[in-house]
Amino acid sequence: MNRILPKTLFGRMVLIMVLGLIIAQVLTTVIFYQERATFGSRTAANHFGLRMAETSRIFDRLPVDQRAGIAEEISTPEFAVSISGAALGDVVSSNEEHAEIIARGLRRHLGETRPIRVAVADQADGEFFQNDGKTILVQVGLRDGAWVTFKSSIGEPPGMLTSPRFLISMSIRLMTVIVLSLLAVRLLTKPLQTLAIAAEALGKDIHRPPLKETGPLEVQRAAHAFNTMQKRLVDFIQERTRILAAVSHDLKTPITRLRLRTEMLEDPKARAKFTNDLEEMEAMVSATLDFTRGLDRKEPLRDVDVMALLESLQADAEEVGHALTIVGKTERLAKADPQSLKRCLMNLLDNAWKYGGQVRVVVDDADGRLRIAVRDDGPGIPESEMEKVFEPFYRIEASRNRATGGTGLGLSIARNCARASGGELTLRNLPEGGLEAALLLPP
Amino acid sequence: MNDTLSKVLIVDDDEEIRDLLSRYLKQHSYDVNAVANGDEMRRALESGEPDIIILDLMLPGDSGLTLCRDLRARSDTPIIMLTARGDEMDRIVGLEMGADDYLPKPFNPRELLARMKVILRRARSMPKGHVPEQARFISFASWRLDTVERQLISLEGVVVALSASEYRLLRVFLDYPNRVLSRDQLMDQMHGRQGEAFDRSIDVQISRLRQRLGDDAREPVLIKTVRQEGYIFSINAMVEK
Repeated sequence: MNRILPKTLFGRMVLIMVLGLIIAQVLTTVIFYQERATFGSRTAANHFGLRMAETSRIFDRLPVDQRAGIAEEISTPEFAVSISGAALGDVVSSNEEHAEIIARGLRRHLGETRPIRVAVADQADGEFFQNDGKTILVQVGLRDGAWVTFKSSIGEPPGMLTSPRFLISMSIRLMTVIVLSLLAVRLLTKPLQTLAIAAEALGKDIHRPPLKETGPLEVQRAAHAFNTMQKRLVDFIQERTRILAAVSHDLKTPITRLRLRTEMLEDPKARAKFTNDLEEMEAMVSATLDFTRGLDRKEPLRDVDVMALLESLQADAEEVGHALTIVGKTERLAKADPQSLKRCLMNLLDNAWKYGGQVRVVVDDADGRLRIAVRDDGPGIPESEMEKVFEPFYRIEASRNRATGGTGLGLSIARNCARASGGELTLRNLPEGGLEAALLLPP
Repeated sequence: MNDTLSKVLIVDDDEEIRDLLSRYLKQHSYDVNAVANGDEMRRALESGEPDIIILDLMLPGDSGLTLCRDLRARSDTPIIMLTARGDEMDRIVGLEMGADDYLPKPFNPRELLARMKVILRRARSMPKGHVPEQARFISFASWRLDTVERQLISLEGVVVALSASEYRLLRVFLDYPNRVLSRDQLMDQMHGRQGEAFDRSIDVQISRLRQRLGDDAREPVLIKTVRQEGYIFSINAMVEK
């Protein structure tokens, strides 16, 4: 069933409407022609009935020897008249209903006592009418016992479903229906498309402007429902974010106390261990706060000197003993939120240094887009994990991350930061080994 | 360290932090007095001016910001603000209220010590009565320095990032314009931290900063070399309120 049905709503609508039109048209035509045919045969029957009655009365008065000559004289191909001494043998009537109509008409004109025999055959005689029709055979008894025989053919009008006029009118009607259904479907599917686009955009930006609640009532209702859903989602996320932020924030004071206590420990070994743990805790708390803050950070985009940013990161890295090579160059300014862009690159670099040894930043501004790729030659990431690593608090492999003190938020924050500047962040394993985190910024 | 102990006044409403911080600073040879709120702070100030004040932002009664503004109105005693909020607005407001430095909780105690040292040394080595500019934006030549986001903005509005040391160096120059600063003075002002390794000499840092500012190294306009003495930042910084 699904394979026969067209894929789009538009296709389905057109199919349904055209099929409906054809069925309706065929039914109408059949009924119309049937009515017309019945009406036609009644008229013909009456017409011939009157003529037969008149002829019979005339023959009653005519001398016997003149009858045959006159009969021949008045015969036409559609109305044959002949005289016989006796009645013909049995005539089989294949259309009793029609025969009865004719018989009743004759009796009305000739009276009930006159002997009448009527037979109707549902086929044409083939001389006058080419198409389907009826042949009527009528015998009327004359006063002197002779019989006059009438033979007449009634034709049907020529071919109805195949005539060019019919075909032209049918195709005009079909075209009209197709054009109208196209308009109707556009009208129907446009709001659907708007909804689909909005839903897709919602995935990228939960704060996108709400849909316009205009148009037909059903569309208004759908748009309203969508907007309400978006609002609830935002509320929900904000509530979760607030909780997360509040917990992280409240951890700051106890961590401060612990740090002070730790500094006063006598045992240098214990002090070093406590300090490490506290630094890790603090990193998690501040990453969480960064993450929650980043979710509602909305800063205007500004022109940023990309090379200056990279060089400043390089200088900062050198101060803490990390090496960074910058490959390539761009004169182009990035349209970005400077702090988000910096945070994004810092997180990518931190990751690269953690796992990847030799770290390079490759800058490239071909085809209008600015591409900043951070490459390492570490072990990379399994393909199946490529998207998951962007999820907050997701860790590929607990041991690996614990050892290096990751918070599971670095890439989530980096991606949020990239999006704050209208950019996109993607990961891939390099063919020569190592991981590449590429930040693509729109022109 | 010093002949006389530096006097520190701590204002924090968290009793434990107050006590721990007092003990910690005493261990590091400071003369510490700790109070819980603004009223107590004012009483403590009556009995003598400290060398430095460590002020918590969130205080019952008068907030740390109010206290900071009041303090700044009557003296130039250095102030380090502490806050658990740590968002940008606090930093902007804190600096504009006249704090000399700002440290978000949970801070590293050693970081606090290092910053105290820089600020105290600056207060001693530089002439009295000089209060460094505290506004968020400092305009000079064709640049504007954003002291909160620590970046330069050109006349055309292009954001030019600075590395941490470039920023520190530029801040020193902006705080002391039109004055010859020796390499030692610059080093002192930039790096108060003990035991931190700086492989870059001041000259390299200067040349980087010149490059960042678009100052031609052969004919510098902004940062000029003074033979045998050091460097001079030869323009008047204009503060944008």
